[in-house]
Amino acid sequence: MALFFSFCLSSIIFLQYYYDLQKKEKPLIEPTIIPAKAIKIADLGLHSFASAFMWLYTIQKMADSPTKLPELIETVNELDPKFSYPYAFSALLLPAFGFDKEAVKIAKRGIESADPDWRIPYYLATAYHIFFKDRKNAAFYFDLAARTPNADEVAKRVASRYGLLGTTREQTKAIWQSIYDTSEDEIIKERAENYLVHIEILELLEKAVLIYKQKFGTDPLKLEDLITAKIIREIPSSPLELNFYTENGRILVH
Amino acid sequence: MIEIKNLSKTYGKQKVVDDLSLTIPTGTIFGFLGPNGAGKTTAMKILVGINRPDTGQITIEGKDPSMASTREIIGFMPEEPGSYNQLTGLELIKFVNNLFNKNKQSSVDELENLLKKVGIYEARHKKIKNYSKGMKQRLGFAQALVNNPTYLFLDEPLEGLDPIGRREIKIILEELKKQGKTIFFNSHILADVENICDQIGIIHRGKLIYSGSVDGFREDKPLEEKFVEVIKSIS
Amino acid sequence: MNTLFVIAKNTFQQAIRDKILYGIILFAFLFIGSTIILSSLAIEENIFIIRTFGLAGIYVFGLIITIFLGASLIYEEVEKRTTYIMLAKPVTRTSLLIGKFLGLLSAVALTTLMMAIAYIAVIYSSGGGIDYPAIIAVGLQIMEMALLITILMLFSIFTTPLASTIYTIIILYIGHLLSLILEYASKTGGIAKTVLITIYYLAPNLEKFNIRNLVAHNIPLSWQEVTFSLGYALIYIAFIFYITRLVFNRKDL
Repeated sequence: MALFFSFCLSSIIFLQYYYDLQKKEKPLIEPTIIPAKAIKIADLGLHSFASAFMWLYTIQKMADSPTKLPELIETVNELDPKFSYPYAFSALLLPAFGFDKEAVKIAKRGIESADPDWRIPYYLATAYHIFFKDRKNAAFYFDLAARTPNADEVAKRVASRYGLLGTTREQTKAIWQSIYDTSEDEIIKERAENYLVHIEILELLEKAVLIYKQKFGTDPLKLEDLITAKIIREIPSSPLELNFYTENGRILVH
Repeated sequence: MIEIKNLSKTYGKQKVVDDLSLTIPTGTIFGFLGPNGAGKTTAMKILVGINRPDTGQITIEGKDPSMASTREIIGFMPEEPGSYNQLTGLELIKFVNNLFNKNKQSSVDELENLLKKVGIYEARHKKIKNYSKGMKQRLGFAQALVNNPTYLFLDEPLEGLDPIGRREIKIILEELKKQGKTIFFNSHILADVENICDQIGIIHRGKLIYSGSVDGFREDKPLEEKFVEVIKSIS
Repeated sequence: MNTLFVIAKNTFQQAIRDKILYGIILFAFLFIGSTIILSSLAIEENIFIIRTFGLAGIYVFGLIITIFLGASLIYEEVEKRTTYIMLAKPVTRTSLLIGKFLGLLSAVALTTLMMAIAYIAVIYSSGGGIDYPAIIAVGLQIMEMALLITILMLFSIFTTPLASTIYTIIILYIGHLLSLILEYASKTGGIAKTVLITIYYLAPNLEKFNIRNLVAHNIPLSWQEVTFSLGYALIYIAFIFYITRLVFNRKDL
């Protein structure tokens, strides 16, 4: 009896383990997205709950199925247009997955429909500034964010100085720093931190190139020259997975 | 006195009770007999005011039993009484007692005495779902007596009881008769009936075929033998 | 009047002693408690997640309890012949129905309030303060359940518990989709339009009791609308109850 019981138990555990091993080798199946209209018919009026549930589902599927992100987020929005955070999240994260147009479309819809949330125009403005290099729209949405009720003071300050004080890079740093300081979202914080570290590395390499020019009277031909000249020990890697190189004394990325 | 005049009841196309007329004197035990499906239970449900007749009139002490106030003096035990399984025996009796406005028992002791009388006092705190069939039958009998009714209607009161239980219930019925109660009961166990009934009525296919004394019907034969003979001759 | 409350108390006792009910309540508590863990998956907006999931949980489990307890309400009484015991006493059929309704509503209200207390404790411990609007949402939910109980009672008079459950679930969905039905009606014509509009006005509009989406977004409640919903519930309950009474009075037991 005990033998039979042990055999069954160990077989069950082994089969589950084997199944999981097999599953890892198979390509992931793209998530099926049930239309929001169909969910609304079935959810007994619990639209906010359905939207929140889809949002949790979207976050879990983000890493595995990034191509479905815009569709998933649109479903979340359609179920509960007032749920603000997904719009803000989309504005900042979708461009990184290559969905620039979708990010703008979703964020603009959020500004119209969602609960007043300064993060939506603020993150949209950030996207315009950093990804689309559109200073005009960036200024517009930063201003909108600053005027949104309950806007964070840090964000208000950055928004009010945008285009007026500092270089583009200083403004970019300030924007990412404000996002890092005001967000509790680990993904967004990590993104902001990566940009800040990237800018820091850029500035470090620019200083190193200046030191090299002062020492040798000429710009280094490649970044390895800085190591040879013992100005830096190694070429730091960007958390944005971009490679640095130098040309005519400038630090560029590819 | 219970008076039934031209009582008829139809279910669908079937006339289940057909022009029934009876008078049951006060202080008697009246056995209402008949084969299965004769219309006994249907008639009884109308007598106690659960259902309404299609035609005819019933009065108990001159009042219509369909009026709630008349039912203060009635006790009814249905056939195979179901119950509220989550309640204990005592809780059920308390519940039933509280449904009365006038004739309720005034204390828990009186209710417990009632349970003693029917033989389920020991199980009074047990949930009804744990009662045997016989215990449920006795509980059904107890709830019919809660208001010390003047008129008692019992549908197959001896069903499911062992011989000792049947004897105990028959003794109670005799005691109630001595107290002047009028008892109207259905049964198809004729051997039990002939000992206690003052009068009987026999119904077959909804029609009353005999009403009168037990001896007047059986003519020196055992009641059951005479009953089968009569029913077969009609069929 | 007295018999009404005696029957209500008996019905309440029967309902709350059902062990299956405890199982459902336990699952409800587990669900509400788990919203804290679920909210941590959300990345910000954790109070919003707890609110939406918590209120949805109270609603869904409240529905399960109502349908589970109510589907066999009258049917079992007739099957077990306990109606005979009561109706042979000085109890009218109307007071039997009202007593059963009040008893079951009390049981449903109690379980709903228990879930609501668990929810409020979870919100409070997560830093969301005391969610007063949620209390109004739960109150309106209890009115919705009261309406469903009358519908269940009506069905249970003439059909089995399974069929009562199915019919009530259909009405539940129709009740939440009436705006969609009106939308379809505006796009159709002829008899279809007439039928759809009739359904729209006659079917119980259960969305009137749904303010969960407003509560989740901290949108202020309109007291006029809440009062209107209460009035609608009371009138509709009285209407269904009247039909139930007519059907039950004509039924031979």
